[in-house]
Amino acid sequence: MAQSYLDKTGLAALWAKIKNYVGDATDQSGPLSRHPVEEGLSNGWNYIKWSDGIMECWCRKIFGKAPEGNGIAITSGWNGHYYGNLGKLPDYPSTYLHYPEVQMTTQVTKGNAWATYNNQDFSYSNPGSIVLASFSSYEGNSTVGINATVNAHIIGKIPSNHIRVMQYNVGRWNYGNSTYGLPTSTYGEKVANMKNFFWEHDIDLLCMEEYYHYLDQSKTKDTNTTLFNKVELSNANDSNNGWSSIKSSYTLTGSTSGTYQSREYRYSKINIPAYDGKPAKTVGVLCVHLSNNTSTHAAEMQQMINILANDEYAIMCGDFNFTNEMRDQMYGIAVNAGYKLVNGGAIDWTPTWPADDPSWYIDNILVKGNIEIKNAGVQYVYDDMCSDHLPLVADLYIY
Amino acid sequence: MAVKKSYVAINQDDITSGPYLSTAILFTASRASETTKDVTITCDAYFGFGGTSDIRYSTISNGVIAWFWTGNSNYDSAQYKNHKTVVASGVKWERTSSTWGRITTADAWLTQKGYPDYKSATGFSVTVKNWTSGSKTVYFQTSGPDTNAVLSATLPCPDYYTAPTAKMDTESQTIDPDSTIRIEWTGTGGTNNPIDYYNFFINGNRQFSTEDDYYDMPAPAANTSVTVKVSAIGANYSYGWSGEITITVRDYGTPTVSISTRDQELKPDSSLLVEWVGTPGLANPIEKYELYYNQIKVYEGTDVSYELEAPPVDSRYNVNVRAVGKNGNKVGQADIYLQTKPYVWVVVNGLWKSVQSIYIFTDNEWKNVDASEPMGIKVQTDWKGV
Repeated sequence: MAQSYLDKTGLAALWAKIKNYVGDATDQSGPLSRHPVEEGLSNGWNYIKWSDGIMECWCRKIFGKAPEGNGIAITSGWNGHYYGNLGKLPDYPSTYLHYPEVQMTTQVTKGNAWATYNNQDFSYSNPGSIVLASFSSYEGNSTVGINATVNAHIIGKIPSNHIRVMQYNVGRWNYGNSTYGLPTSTYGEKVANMKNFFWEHDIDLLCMEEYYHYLDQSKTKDTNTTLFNKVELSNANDSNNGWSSIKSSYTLTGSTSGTYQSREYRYSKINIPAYDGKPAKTVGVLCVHLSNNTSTHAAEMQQMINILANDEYAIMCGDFNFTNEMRDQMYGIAVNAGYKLVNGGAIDWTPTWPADDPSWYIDNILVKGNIEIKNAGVQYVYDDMCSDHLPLVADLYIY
Repeated sequence: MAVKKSYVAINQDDITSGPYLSTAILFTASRASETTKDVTITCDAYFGFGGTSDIRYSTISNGVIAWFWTGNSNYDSAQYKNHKTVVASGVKWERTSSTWGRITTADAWLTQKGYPDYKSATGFSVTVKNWTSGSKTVYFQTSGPDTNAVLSATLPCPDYYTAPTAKMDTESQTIDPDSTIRIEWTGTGGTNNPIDYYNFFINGNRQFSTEDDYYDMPAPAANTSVTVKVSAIGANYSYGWSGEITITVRDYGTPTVSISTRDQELKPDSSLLVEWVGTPGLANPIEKYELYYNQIKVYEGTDVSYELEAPPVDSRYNVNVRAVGKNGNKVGQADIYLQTKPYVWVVVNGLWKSVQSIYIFTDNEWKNVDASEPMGIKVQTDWKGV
């Protein structure tokens, strides 16, 4: 049903883009098992909610009443064009988690005109104000004014039991060097790349280590203001001098932090809504960065497990710093405590450090509880980014 | 089954790396030399003095006033210093003089010059790194120009532990679907580390914890295989993996069906009781039978016979009986064919009334047929012998 509908509406390519935005991810789930979980008509929108948290909705709204009443006036000048205000479409059936993809087409009763939405008040719940633009001016009376039919198709992610998690040691924004922040010479290019990277990957939960609150070495570019608030990761558990950081499009609650072996961990909870017949859940999230001291790794690992001991559902992301010789033994501590591994479990062992020629398996995502790991993979973005680690992404389904 | 929530730590199979079972080693140090040392305390940290003679460990960074080391290695002492695992609460230092060494302020202690001729120190709680084996002589010295030991003590080898081990006794094998297989294993406790329980894993994911050394595992889904292993969890933490075995589950067998009624020719408008015998497949009893007569399902149920009308004149029908297994959509089938022959046209040359009887040779014999009704005259090219 999904494919045929998307094919009919010409959105197959769009859907493929959305589904495959994990890049070279390894799909562990086999054939797509996506299914609709709810459909209906709400507030003028037809909608389908899918099991992966994608909601599509579409509507048709007619503006103008000519010839029985007035049509739309397109008389306001703008850079050689003319436009008239149409107003807004109704709010979406549900609020999106990220900015959705919006496609809008227009049919007009005369001349050439097209509808476009206003980015200024574009939101998670509404495409915003719509204007009808044209190369020609049209008065709005009943004989000259234009009637416009606006067809809108919206597709994007809503809060669901599917969350996309990224683990990324950002290397102090400078390849792990002791000097924090990007040098001026590469700042613009790297920040632009990172915006695109985080935006394109539609991350719901991002755990970072070697995080620094400024992106530049002169400490003028605040990380949240410059980057994360613009890629829909505005909820944070970190500090200005934070070593670890949790960012999320979900609200973080119960946030705490602590230290061990001179390293910092961050702990928060996120509330997963009821979805697809699954009840609402609270998931503990721990961002960890173990020390370089191999003799204390076991104790540190156990301490991290203890922090999440009371969470039935837990996600532990981190740079674990295990040597290759100790890798299986150390991760085995978590496995024996009931954790499932993304790296070395859902996918084959994949090195993440050093980013330019990875050979260590130190970045991982561990999950506890009835959580299914689906698409997962290491993202090879060394040249574009500014870390000595590679990010690891996984799609988690909370059951 | 329950999953134990206790956790496991590193395998301490080499006592050169901690932690040890005994993290507190109480000892009494005695003077290593009768020579009074002229020592200038130039430490970069200090033991603060409380209201009593107890010496308390300070959390001030950059080390401690007193260094421990094992053997003759300054490396060891540096390790110990950096490790900062000393717990000095309750430690008493006794000087050779009759009074306790008590200095009122840290500054005074830091700049002290004198003759700290300590007699003994008691009550230290020590964890020593880089222990190899056997007992160790531990020295106490002050930092400063004279780094000779002033106190020494012999510490016994700590009670280290090693990880338990586990061995899978059941071998990889192939089993029938819907069966149960007993998975057995053997665990061996480590040094000072008896086995507390086992974790049971399927495909790398922990399923449950148990104190038993076997598990009657229901067969996984038919036509699949899983890996199975256990880990032995020590009472003093640490763990050991067993090897991994593979349990393969056969696919459900396909039932078979045999039609005991043979292919045959029927008279038009007659009927025939078709009978069959079904045999279950592996772990797959027959749920029902289906009978298709000329590709149309005419029966579905558990009976093993069905009465069929003869096919129309001059036609051949397929009888297809299917035995449908309860599991896995497995279907066995068998076929026979029923047919009726065309009417036989009898050509009579002459008066019909003169015909007394008509014989038809069929089924290897002449058969008398009813000749009472006129049959007219017809040219028949595929006629049968009369």
